[in-house]
Order: sequence, then structure tokens, then C-alpha cells
Amino acid sequence: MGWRTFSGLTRVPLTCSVVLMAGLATTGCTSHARDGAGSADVVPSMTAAIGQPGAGAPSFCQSLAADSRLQDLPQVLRAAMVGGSDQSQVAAAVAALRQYAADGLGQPALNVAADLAAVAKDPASETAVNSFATAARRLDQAMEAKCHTS
Amino acid sequence: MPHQLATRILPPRRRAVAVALSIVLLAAILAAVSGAPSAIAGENTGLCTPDHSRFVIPGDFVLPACFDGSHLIIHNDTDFPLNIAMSGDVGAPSLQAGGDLAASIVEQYSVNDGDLMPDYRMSVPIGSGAATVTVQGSTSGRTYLLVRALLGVLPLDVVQAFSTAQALVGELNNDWQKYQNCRNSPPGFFGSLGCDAIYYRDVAFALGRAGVQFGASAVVGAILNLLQTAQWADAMPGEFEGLRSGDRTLDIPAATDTAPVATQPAANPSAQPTQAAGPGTGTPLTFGITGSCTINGGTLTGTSSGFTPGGTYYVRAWYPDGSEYTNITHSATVRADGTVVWTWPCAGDPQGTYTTQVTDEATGRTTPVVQFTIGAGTPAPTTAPPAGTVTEQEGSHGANTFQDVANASGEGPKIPAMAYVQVTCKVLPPSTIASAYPDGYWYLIASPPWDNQYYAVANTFWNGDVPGQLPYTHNEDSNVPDC
Repeated sequence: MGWRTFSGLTRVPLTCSVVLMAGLATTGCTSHARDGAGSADVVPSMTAAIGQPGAGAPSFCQSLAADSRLQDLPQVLRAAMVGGSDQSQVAAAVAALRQYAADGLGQPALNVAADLAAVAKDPASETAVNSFATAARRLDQAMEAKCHTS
Repeated sequence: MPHQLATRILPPRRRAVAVALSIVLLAAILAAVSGAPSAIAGENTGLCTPDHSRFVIPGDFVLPACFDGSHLIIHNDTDFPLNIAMSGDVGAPSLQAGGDLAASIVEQYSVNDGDLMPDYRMSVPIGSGAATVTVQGSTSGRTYLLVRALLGVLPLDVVQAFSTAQALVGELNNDWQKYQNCRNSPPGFFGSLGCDAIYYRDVAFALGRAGVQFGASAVVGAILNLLQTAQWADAMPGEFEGLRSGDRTLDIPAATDTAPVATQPAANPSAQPTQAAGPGTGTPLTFGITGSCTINGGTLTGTSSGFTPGGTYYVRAWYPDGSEYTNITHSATVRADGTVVWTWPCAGDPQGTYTTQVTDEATGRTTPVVQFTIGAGTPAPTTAPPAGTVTEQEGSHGANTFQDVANASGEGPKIPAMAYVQVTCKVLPPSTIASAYPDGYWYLIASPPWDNQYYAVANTFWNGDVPGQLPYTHNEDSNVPDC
């Protein structure tokens, strides 16, 4: 059941996702699920975010997309910068990136590995954070070029 | 909810405070959205000495209020900023602060006319003419949540220095917007990580400028979580109106008005344009409805004339059973040609004959009640369904389909809104996306083009519930076998 509009303004109906966002996953969610929330808020896996490697792509592309050391990088990064950092997880991600650099991703992966280590060590460093952000985008571009060939 | 005002938080205690803050804040949110009825909603004689000769506050009015014949006093007893919209013969309102420090701080730089902060009282002068006062959500909710949270983690003198608090709230809002812009543009997984890193750094810097050490990670984490929650607060202006039960509008008649506005549908109204029987006006007020529709779709349109250009009009409507239809935008501005906008998308509403009525608030004239009908629509397919399947109807927004129910990957064709499909079975994965809950079930869709290759979240279907008849209680259909 949607909101009626008499003035060109549209109201947003309460959805399950809104309730869940506020940490209020109660029965209040029940009557709103049919408003489409069930198909909206999807947190993609790394595989979904990176996409399936194209035909003829190097083998490391497939293993990279499923590598658990990289899968949790969003959580590892937040922990490293905001608190509760597990340095072993950072080290594992850095090692994975170096491995894929050697396997064929090259300098972009090495740069991200180095910048990730720097950010984890000094999250207050503006230089380190900016460098990491730039390197991360370039790594995406490198992966697109090497792994999504048809 | 009273706040602890006198405690200056020392750094070693900040983690515990941040946790406590989250609990307090969540409790505030829960109270705000749950619509817990006020102990003294409707007329509250503690606010004034009421004068019932002209107007009586309805017992189901959403907030405590009192009318003394010349002033309407409204008390915001919720934990969330609200907005009081006024029209007609009203004067400039005055405010009286309560004991909520966060509300007082936000009030210092609130820019919304009519905002009523938690625990504040508003006194609205009412003239001899008709007046309408409506309680609605406020866009200050996000700022209020932030300030309320900051009270728990920043030194009190910093928060009380309004310019500092204002700058911090503005900076945090900007950081969030910058983050959203970044996340909307990056090409992939690693680029998003870069956005995350910049966001964390920006928030920590903003807090640092306001006195929080960068190393106070629990505080930074709590604020990051809060910023997510505050996005929810952005939706509150609309959410409030659907969540807190009770009448939100007071229609105060003119002191000399001898023809009170009708509030109930007439027995035999007409869908043809009808003329208002209101007093003393030049141009007749007409209103009718054209078009046809069913529960599956279609939109009805109003035809009208004679309303006061540039003035406000007010719409009410009732279900076939006579109960008032509340999910509507009641007030809007009359067009320059004296017509009003009235449209009714029918999809999702129950079948039957409805009624509606429109008031020209500048003159107080009200149209007669006008009927309109929503038809039964297309029945479920009559062709024999595949053996062993169950027919289910999708909800009013449709649903995406996926091959993998664990993480909603492998996207397939979308199921259209209100469409009937054949469902083979239901599955409850050990873990799945958040919005599959409550219950967490998915349906395997048998109908083409899904062909038992794609799943859709079960709670997006009607599952036997009837559109428009609340509460909806079926998150899945028990007649669908388990896979």
C-alpha cells in the first residue's frame, strides 16, 4: 500500500530496511516487507562486487575474487582505522595483495598493499589515506583490464 | 527523556560511555517510532484552562494540547523534533523550552518555521476565523540525534558552545555526503575501500577538532554508527505520521461559523462534480472524480473549480467500511486557476466504494462527500498451474530475483508488482540478506522466465494477506512446501 499524493510530493513508506537500520528488527517490520525492501538492500560479496572474470582471464583472477583474506577487507580496514584492529588480518591482506602482484596484477596491487599497511599503522595520516584511496582505484582499473577480458 | 547534563566525560571512561550512549539513543529512537501513546494525549488541562464553547481538542489528537479560546497550546512529549504546520487565522507562535538540553541546542540554530523540539511547548494565537493546525515530522531530526549523541561523548562546555557544536554537526553531515558521493562513483571493490578510509579519517578529524582524541576509537566508532542511524532520521518526517497513531490535524472553526465542516461521509454521495453548500462565496466550489481503476492499478483524477487560488486545500478520504484513510498528503496549495490536484493510484488498495471530501481552507467551504470505486481487478490465473506449485501474488513494489539466496547474487528478471506467479517451494538459508527478515524465507519461482532457477524473498509477497487490511501477518505462506 503506497502513499497517496495530492501535491506532487511523495512520502517514503516505512520499510523493513529502515527498521533494521535503526536496530529495531521487531514485529513492526512485518507489515511493510511487501513494500519492496526485500529486493533492495543487498550487501554484495566481493565476488559480486568484482564480477566474474572474463573468458581467457588469468587464473589468479578467479582465486582473487574468492580469497577470504581480501573478502573481509572492509571490516579489517575499519578495525584498523577506528579501533579493535587485528594486525594479523591486515598482514594477511597485505600478503595476499603482494601475492597477486607477483601473479600478474603488478604494481597497482603492490601499491595498495603498501598503503594499506601504512594506513593501518597511522590512520591519522592524511597522506597515507589519500594515497591508499588513489591506489585502490587504480587497482580496480588494473583488475578490470586484466580480469574482465572476453 | 531527561538527560544527564552535569557529567564531563573523562577519556578512560569513553568506551563505556559510548556503549551506554548507544543504548540510550536506541531507547530514544524506539520510543519515538513505536508510537507509544502519551500518558495525556488529546486535551491536557495542565496546559491551559480550556474553553469548549468554540472547539474541543479530540481525544485522539496525537499530542497533548489545550485550547483556551484564543490560544492553542501543544506539547511535544515525544523524543523527536516535530513540526507544527498552521494555516488560516493564526498568529505568530511562541515557544517555551523544556528540560531537554539537546533540544535547546538544536533550537538555537533550527531554521524550520514551526519546529517543535522534544519537551517544548508551542502557543499559537487563534483569531476569530477558521484555523487548521497539523502535527508533522521535522527535518531537524537528524541534527537532533547527532547533538544528543555528542552530549555523551564531548565535553559539555564544547557542546554548549553552540558555534562549535553547530560546526561539528555540519562537518559530520558534510563528511557523510562526501562519502555517499564517493561510494556512488567508484568502479569497484577496492575503490570503495578508498572511500571508506577517507570517511573514517574525516570523521575522526572532525571529532578531533571538537576535542576528541583520535585514539578514542570507541567514540569514533560510536559516531560512525550514529551517522548511519541518523540517515534513518532523515526519513522521519514521513515515518512519524505513519507510526504514531491518532489524529494529527486540528480544524478549529471560525468563532462565528454557524455551518460546521462535515466530518463524516454522506449516505449517498455522487461522483459527479458537486457544488459546495458553503456560506457567502462568489465562485461555486465544484469537485468530481474521473477515471477508473482496480486493485491492480489505474489512477483516478479529481476535477475541480472555485477554490481560492494560492490558498490551501485539505483532503480527507474514507475506506469502504467508513474508517478514515490516513496514508494521504492532506494539504496542498490551490492552483492559480482555482483547481486542486487530486490523484489516487489504486494499486494495493482493497476493492470497494470510497469517499472523499475537499476543504477550501481560505473560505472554510467544504465540498460534499464524493464517491469513487476501486474495482476487483484481474483475478488469479485460471489456467491450471504446474503440478505441485502454489500460486502467490507479489506485493505492490515487485521483487528482484536471485540464484543465490545466501548473498542475493546471480540476479534474474524482476517479478512485477502485483503479479501472480507459481511457487515451487520455500527455503530458509542459514544466513541471508537482512531484508529477508522477518523469517528469512525465499521462494523458488516456477513460472517462466524464472523456471525454478531463481528465488525471491518470501515476505515481499502477499502470502494470503489482503492489500490494505492491516495488520499484515504472513511473511510466508505455510501452504508452500519446504524445498
